[in-house]
Amino acid sequence: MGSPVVPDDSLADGALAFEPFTLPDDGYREHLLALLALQAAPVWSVGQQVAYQEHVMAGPTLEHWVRVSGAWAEVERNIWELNGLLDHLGVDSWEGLPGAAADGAAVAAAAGSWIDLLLAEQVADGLGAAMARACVDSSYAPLARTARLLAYGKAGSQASGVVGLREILVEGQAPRSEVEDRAAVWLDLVGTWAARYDDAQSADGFGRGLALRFDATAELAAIKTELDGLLEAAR
Amino acid sequence: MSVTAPARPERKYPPLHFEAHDDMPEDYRKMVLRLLRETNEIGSVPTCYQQMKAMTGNVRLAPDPVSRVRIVEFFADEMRHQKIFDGVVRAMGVVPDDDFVSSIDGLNATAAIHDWIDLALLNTFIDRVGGFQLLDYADSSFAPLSRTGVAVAKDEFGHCAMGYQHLREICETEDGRRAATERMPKWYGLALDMFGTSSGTRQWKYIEYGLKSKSNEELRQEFIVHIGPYFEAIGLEQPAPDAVPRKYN
Repeated sequence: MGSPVVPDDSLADGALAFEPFTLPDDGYREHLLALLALQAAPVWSVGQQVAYQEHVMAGPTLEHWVRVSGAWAEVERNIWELNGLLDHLGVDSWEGLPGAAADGAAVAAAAGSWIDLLLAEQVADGLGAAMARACVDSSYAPLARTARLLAYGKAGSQASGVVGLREILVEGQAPRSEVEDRAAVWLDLVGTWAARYDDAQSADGFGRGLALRFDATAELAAIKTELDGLLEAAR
Repeated sequence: MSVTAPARPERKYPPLHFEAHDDMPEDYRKMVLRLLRETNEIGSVPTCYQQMKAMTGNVRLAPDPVSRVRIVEFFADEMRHQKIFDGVVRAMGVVPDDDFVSSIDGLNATAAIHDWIDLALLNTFIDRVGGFQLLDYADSSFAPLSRTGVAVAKDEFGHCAMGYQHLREICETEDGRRAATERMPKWYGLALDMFGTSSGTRQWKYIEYGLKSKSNEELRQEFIVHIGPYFEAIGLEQPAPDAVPRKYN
């Protein structure tokens, strides 16, 4: 007789404890899906695909096109990765996660220009980077493995957004007021994700070792400070 | 009366002899700029911009999510190449004008992509030729071309592997194989023509200056031999070079 495939309780909350075929119970799966739903927009970039396709070459310089092309490829990879994770959990696609379709639609509505793509990187990916870092020792092994790479990818995207925004402001590629207006939209949108994430953490703390706790609202405040600094430096 | 091929010229300049900012003979400089123009990857030129913009629509052709990821990665690679070669031209102190566009038909064929099959054939053949040509710059006397050529060639070989994977999937159905068989000659002919004429005199100048190491026909023949097993593996017959639409031979 072989060993049981479900780890014992002492491992239940440990890093990389569970694979898709060793989920301990339905409750664990529900917690995991709830976490993935909260991550759908900031970590996995849902809702951004069409905007990238439409605006990838709308910026004023070759440097922007190159930078945004790379970001588009990451967005496509992220969504594909999420769908791969979900497939193993019996969910057809990210649209099947509670609230994710609405988040995706909100992102698509907000991402109406090439400037929005840069703000999505700086603001949304900034929060996404923190969420990915929180999962590098997740008890769900596929999430941990992906997060270990994604944490760097999202940080890179955030930096790419900062560089692009700085170029806009320093070189006067768009009116500063336009960047400020669009930044307010993204901070507001991502602020709802951060608040919701913190609420979920305080309710059950993403039990079962799925993600480390962190203060998402404070993380977004730090992102806003960085953005304010960029805007201030261009005055 | 028989025509004798010109003798292969002696190489004047060793590998990595000139950097972009160096003084160089005017004719040498013109030949370098011509090679750079022929990459058709000079991102600030309006024609290159339009062709790249047209390529963004190809993502809609992808039949499944993972193919979509690959095509967007391909697009991002090509956009990076546009920056790389544009940068080399500018490092030479030249601002590329609107006419800084390749004369090579295969590199201006984006308008001929109507569906996923065309794109698979383009990646399989055209990107492969790009890889062959760029790898030939490995020992170039113009150092920036040596460095960038090898780096970009690696990407191009990745693109042709992607195209071949898509072509293999297309050929798994009867309809797909029929359509690929019908359209293949056009793309194969464009690919063979990308190496240039066998009789052109400019190729010998490139060799003399150490910008390239092989003649047009040598590279074309290497390509034909290299790609033979790929035809065979998916059950397509490799046409003779003169049995497909050609502009040059």
